[in-house]
Amino acid sequence: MALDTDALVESMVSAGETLSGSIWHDMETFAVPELKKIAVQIVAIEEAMLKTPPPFTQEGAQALLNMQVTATVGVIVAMTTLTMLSVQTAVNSILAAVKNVVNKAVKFTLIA
Amino acid sequence: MTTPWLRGAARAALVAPLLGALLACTVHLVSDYDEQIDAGLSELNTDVTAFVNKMIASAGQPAGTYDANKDFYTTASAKMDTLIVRAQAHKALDSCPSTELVKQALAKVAPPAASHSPIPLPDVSQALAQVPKDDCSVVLLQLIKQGLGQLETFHRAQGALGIPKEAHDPILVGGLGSLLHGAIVVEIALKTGQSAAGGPGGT
Repeated sequence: MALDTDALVESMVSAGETLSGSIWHDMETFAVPELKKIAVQIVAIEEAMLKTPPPFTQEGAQALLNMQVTATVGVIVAMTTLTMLSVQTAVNSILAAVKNVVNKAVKFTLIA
Repeated sequence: MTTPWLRGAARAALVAPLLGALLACTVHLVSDYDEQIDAGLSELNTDVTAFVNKMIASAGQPAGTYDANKDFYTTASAKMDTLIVRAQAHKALDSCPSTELVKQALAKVAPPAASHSPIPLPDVSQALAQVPKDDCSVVLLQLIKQGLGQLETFHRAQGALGIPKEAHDPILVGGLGSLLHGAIVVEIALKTGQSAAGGPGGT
């Protein structure tokens, strides 16, 4: 059986089409809620400093605020890792799909 | 005149070397799952939560001061160093694609010098300098260690006040808690090989 271009393309596209959904899902269920939580804390720190007496020293408040900046970077780095994992999974699925189509076409295990 | 079978075989013979080269190995963009990093992060999350809650219960008392509890930071920092070493041994890349993006984004949102706020605004340039260049998994663990250092700075700066209840959410919901949550979500994703945020093990 000759290689069928349409079947090959369909297999590759099917293997890769979950990529955008998976990235958006991570964004919606992980990154956005985490960023919202951090934003709430930044406001809370500022509001706490308006109390008399404030519960934090100036240097203490700054350390807490710096921690929120670090956490924001952390969310972006974690989201990047999840995105790269999704890309890795999609690329490897596409390669596996190509392998299946080719092996089926030649009727033996050409690509192990 | 060639038969269809021969034409197919000839085409396969031409395409096979190319595909063989393409499929010889799988793409590897993220570090492998490490059970000890996973367990270490969960343990650290428990330790930090228990420590902060204990400190809040002792706020304003000698038992809640930094000096009476600084051993916690030494131990936690050493544990993080071990996890970072393990992550470096597993790393897939030498840099995290978002590192430069984060630096550019933070530079753009730097607050104006004359901004009015009851607290000193974060030093963005310092934050930029501390974003390490390494594999994303390593960067994430280094950021947690940085967060632990910021908790230590906070605790020390509070003096006799210790860690008040108002600090609970900024430390454990945002801040360090968010960093640990992100790292645990990534570990679950690496373990299952798929999105962890909403999966069965998602948090």
